[in-house]
Amino acid sequence: MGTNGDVKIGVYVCHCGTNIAAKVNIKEVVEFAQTLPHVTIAREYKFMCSDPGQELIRQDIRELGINRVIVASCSPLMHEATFRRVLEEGGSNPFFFHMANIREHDSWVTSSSRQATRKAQALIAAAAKRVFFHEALQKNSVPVNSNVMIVGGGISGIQAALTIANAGKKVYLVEREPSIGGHMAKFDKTFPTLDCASCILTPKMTQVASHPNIELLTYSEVESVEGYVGNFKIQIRKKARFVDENLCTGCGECTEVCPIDIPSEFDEGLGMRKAIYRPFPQSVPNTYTISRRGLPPCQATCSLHQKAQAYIQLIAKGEFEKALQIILRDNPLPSICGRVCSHPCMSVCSRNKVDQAVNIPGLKRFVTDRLSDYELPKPERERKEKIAVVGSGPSGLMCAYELRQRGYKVTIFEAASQPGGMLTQGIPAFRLPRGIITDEIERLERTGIDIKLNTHVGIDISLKDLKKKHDAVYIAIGAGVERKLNIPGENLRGIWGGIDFLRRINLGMHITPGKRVLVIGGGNSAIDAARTALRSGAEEVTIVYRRSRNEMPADQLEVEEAEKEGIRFYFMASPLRFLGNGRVTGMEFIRTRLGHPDESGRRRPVPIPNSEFTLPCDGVIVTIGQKPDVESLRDRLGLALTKFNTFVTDPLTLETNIPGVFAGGDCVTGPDVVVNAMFAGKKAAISIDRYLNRQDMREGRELEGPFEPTFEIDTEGVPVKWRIEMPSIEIERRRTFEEVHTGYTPEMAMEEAARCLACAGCCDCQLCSTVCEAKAIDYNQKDTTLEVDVGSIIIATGFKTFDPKRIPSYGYQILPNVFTSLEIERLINSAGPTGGEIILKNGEKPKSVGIIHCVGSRDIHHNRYCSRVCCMYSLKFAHLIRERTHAEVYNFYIDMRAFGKGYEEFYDRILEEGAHLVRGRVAEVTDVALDSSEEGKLIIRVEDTLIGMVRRIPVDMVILSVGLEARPDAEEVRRLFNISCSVEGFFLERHPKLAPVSTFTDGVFLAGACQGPKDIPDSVAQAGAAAAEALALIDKGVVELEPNTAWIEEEECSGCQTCVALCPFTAISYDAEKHVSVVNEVLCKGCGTCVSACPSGAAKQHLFLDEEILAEIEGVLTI
Amino acid sequence: MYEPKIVAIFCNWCTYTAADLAGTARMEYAPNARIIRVMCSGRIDPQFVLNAFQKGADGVLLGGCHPGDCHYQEGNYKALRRYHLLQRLLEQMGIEKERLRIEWISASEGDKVKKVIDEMTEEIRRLGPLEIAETPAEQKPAVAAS
Amino acid sequence: MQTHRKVKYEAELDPSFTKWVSTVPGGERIRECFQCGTCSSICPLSVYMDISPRRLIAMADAGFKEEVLSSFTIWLCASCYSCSVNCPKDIKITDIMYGLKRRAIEEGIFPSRHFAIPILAKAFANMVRKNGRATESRLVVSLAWRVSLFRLLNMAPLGIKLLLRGRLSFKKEKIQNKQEIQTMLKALEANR
Repeated sequence: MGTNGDVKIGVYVCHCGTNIAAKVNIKEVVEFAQTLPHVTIAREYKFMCSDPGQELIRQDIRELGINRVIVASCSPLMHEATFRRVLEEGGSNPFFFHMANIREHDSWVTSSSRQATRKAQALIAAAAKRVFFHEALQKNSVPVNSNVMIVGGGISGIQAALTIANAGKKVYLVEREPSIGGHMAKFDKTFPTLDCASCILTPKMTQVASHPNIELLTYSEVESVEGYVGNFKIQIRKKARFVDENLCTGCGECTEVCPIDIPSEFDEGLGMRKAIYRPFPQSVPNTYTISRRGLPPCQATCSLHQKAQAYIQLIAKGEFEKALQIILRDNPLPSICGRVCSHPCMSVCSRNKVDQAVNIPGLKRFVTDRLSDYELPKPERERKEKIAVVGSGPSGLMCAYELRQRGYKVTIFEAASQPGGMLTQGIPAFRLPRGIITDEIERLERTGIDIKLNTHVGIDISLKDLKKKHDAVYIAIGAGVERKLNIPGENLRGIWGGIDFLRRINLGMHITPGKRVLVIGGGNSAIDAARTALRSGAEEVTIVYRRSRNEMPADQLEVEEAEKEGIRFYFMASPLRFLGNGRVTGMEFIRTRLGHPDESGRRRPVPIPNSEFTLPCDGVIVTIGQKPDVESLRDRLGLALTKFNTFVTDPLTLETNIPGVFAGGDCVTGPDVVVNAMFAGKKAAISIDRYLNRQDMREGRELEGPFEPTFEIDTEGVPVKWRIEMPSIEIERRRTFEEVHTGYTPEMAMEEAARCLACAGCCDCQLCSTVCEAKAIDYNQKDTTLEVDVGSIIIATGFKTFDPKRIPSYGYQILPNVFTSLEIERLINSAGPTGGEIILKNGEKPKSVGIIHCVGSRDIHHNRYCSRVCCMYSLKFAHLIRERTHAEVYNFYIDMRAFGKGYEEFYDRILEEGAHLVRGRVAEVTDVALDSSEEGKLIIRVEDTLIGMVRRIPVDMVILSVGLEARPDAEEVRRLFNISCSVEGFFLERHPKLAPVSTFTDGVFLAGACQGPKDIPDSVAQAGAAAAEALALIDKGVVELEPNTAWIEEEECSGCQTCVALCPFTAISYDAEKHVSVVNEVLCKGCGTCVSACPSGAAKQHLFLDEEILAEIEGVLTI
Repeated sequence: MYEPKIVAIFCNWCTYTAADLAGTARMEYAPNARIIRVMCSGRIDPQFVLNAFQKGADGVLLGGCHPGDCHYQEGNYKALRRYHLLQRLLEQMGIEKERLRIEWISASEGDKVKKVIDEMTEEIRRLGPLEIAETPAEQKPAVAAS
Repeated sequence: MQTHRKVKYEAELDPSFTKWVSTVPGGERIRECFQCGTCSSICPLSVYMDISPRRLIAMADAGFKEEVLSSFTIWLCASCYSCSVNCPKDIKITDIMYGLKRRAIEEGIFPSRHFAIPILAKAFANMVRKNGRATESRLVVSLAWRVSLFRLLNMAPLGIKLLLRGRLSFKKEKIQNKQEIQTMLKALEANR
């Protein structure tokens, strides 16, 4: 590098009073500085930052021609800007300046004076070497956007918003909860004036709502922040309330009909609210919100998406009619499903985490039995198209119903003499009475569906004709052809196929399978066949299955019933052959062990050599699976089949390879459960409807079927209450075909339904919309994203209270009547859960109350700091509780902190009023009484340090004055805004005394308790300060950016593009024409990453040139 | 007694601020580290480290923000990568790996600055001065480049 | 009625005692005690002590050497550690108590003559030093001999019953290689 002009350096060493001078030998340092190359003058002064100090520099610039300045004093973070301005005023470029930090980094941290002096010399030598290479630079100005964003709608946020809005600037106030107000809205009276919190807060809240300059975004959260001071681009997510803010009048009719009760967060869990709610009566905005975690797990996994949580909650409240209406919305065969459904809902029921799932089908069946004269809705209009459904099993019936509801003409073709498919033929009457099936199907017929029995498609009418005479065809022929074992002896008498056996019995034939019957198989059909055999004269029935109990596909509840009835199980045995002559007399088996999984995912049974054994019998029923009877269709019109003999269909739409022909149910999936067959029928109906209207069949259909629950809830603290047993007939009576389960009584049903945890919140019963006159409820509302441009941000996100569960010796949630301060606020507040009555859990008024200060604060095990407000609010409670209940009040404190205006006077008043103030930190709250006066009370054991004795004080109620902490998501929030947190977790201010509302990120300010615990007067003051900072920025109109941006020397750039990918702000782009990379100065933030990565040294950074830093390194090593 | 010379290159937002905090809290620590400020630890060029050793440093300390907290998003990750590569280079040159150290110090961790500098000073004192042969043209003490 | 003037002059306090307390392991933070009273409140024996644990710490920190070392308090500490666990300043009060006990033994300051607890401690330590083991029966006798023979005679009937049933033995318990223990103890004491 060249001579860089005629460099004249001026060195100024500051005493900073005694801060530097007491440790560093200023004289020696000045003498040393004078010896450095290019140093024209070296001076010392007591306070360089003062006016005379600054004048020294200005004068030297003017008179001595100084063109480089070094000030050796405090940290550049303190005064770099100050001195740069001095240079400017003196007529020099402000960037010909460098600071040597000989205070924070030297005099304040070095014990030896000699060492400190040497270090100061080294730092000045480095500065002198560096400043030689400084260039003349210009500051960039960018305009400041005059909008302000305030995050957090508590008292601080509200105050800041009003101040800025009144100054004529636009404010976006973002609040996460449905209403603004923060913690202050929960308080009753505030110290020291005993003002009513709501009375002073609500006028401000309404002002915010009606202010033309404030855009209030409640129930919203900040998603991302980009940009820099003066130019922030912020994405806000407005969560869906499912209520239109503009239409809702706040009348509250909806809460009257909502069946869901949820512990109210605003009342600290002491009271309940509904799923559609307003946090408190004076909420701003006055709009209701529906809180919903997502689709309830039971509804999500149900193939038909039945609103189980909704109808269960209504049953719990005795609203059986409304429950039935909800059931019928999605299921036309509820009486059947309530008896035979495989209930996937129960396996994901949240109640499983506590004790047992709610008996969802049992409750459904209760409603349909009780109100059994219901009718299905009729279609609202008629269409001319005709659809043919082949098969009247659950799949065909559902498809026919769904199509009929849409107005189409539907005819079902059933080959058998009775409708119902597997329902009639496969499920025994002791599980599903025939009368129920008849009733359900007749209801369907009354909606206008035509069922042609004894009409076999393929024989009585061909599929081809069917397709010609109808506009669409749905094939739901089920899977009725039995698989055979294919082992020797299969054609002996006494051996039945399971479905064949069940069909004959269900159709009314009397068959005696034998006295000792073996049933081969492990599915529901095997269980049904076994139980049917027992009712058909068999004395001993044994089910033999080739895998273990865990792999049995049968419903566990059915297996338990079978065991109750005396049916035996033999596991891990595979059939080899039948024994007998003419009639079967026994079977030979071989034992198996479980090997590797097969294609169904279950472990394959592997025979164990030489382990054959026989079981005697005189009847065998074989239920090992079924296939669809596709052959019976004769001419299949070329419908494609899989290798399992099922139809090939598109899983999303159920189309086959022939347009207009759809297929679903067991004939597509293989044997499956009723609810899945019904789901297929519904899916096919939707497809057919779209097909006939020439609409896209594939769009938006992904969520039609069952899916995984999207959330889990925390069930801690829910008391265990086992399921109400479904009443059944006694074992002795279980030899006929009468129905085994007799159903719940109304009392049992309501009790069982009350076990439902309402885990999703809103259950989607949609009753609220029926009473909303303003038609404000919109269940399809989605979260929306809003992008705004602002120039500055004020963070006012508040605090959370310490959780006293972390100190078990205080008995919170272990002993009754131990409350936190926030809980007591809600009890005292007249709009709270007890209407302002301070009462114990048993409803009585307390006669003595103990208030424990410093819970979680001033404690090395929890928070070391003092939370500032607790002493005062504890005294406030002492006053309010004495006033309301006339109880004796004891306050237990370590030090009384009454530091503010009117606080000491308030303390006097409380003493005067007669509260007992005991100086001693409480170690334990216990209910173990040492004498009769302590029975039934909470005893506080404490050393009264002023008197000097240990005391035991029995009280009725204990209040824990919990400290204030940073919010649990403070770390994520701070990363969002690029600020720091201090050690305790609160947001870090730039300087605790001189810059308490600024952060280290320009343009982002703090207000209120999020910066540290404080009371309302201080929060409001800080909010005003933050508003002032924001307004100062806006008023200035421009923000000067530090010119430490990077640039790339075109001639030296080789076009390798290493830098392009490195820049996190995408400030570097590649110019393909010139084959060089270019830095966009406006986007560059000045980190310098590209500079150090550049292999050719073409990338350079102003203010941090390589030469400058290397010079500094060299300089620092000279001493 | 032999006093090690340590060059510390600290990033403005976290480490330099933490050092200021240590100063404000009057924490006393070894004076052997001289702190040089850069805006981001990503600015630290391996050349700086090598130069430092060449010019007489017995140890070099790099300071940046904790991973995930870099004021410029990712600069500290780049610094970490370069640090690892540098260590391998230094190993080949026969420079002990304790002489180059990288630390993540957040703005409120003034005590960590003290701890790290004290520790490193003792470590380097134990290792002794770094002996690197210099070309005759570049003998100490430094003279301003001109 | 006799009145006494009770003023404590600075000259009567012992600043070296204050310094010494903060060198007891566990007592480094004694200066930080803000006298909250949690230790006294949770201590199960504080109601029997003449000076509560909290007061004792304050007195120790101020230099009230005589009063602290001659209190009952330090001897009644059962080392349940409740105070140390609950202290919000993490001061290891139990460890300080034990430090004070050792100092009291060293200086020979006790609440009364023939105070049983330190006598027992000494007897135990001596027995272990000599034999490598403590024989409980002999320990009890040696304690009673020094403190109160009367007590011993009172317990005699019970003792005889136990002897007859083989539950009590006066046989001296010892280890092989007794000199090893003595070597170790000598080395420890030399380093102190």
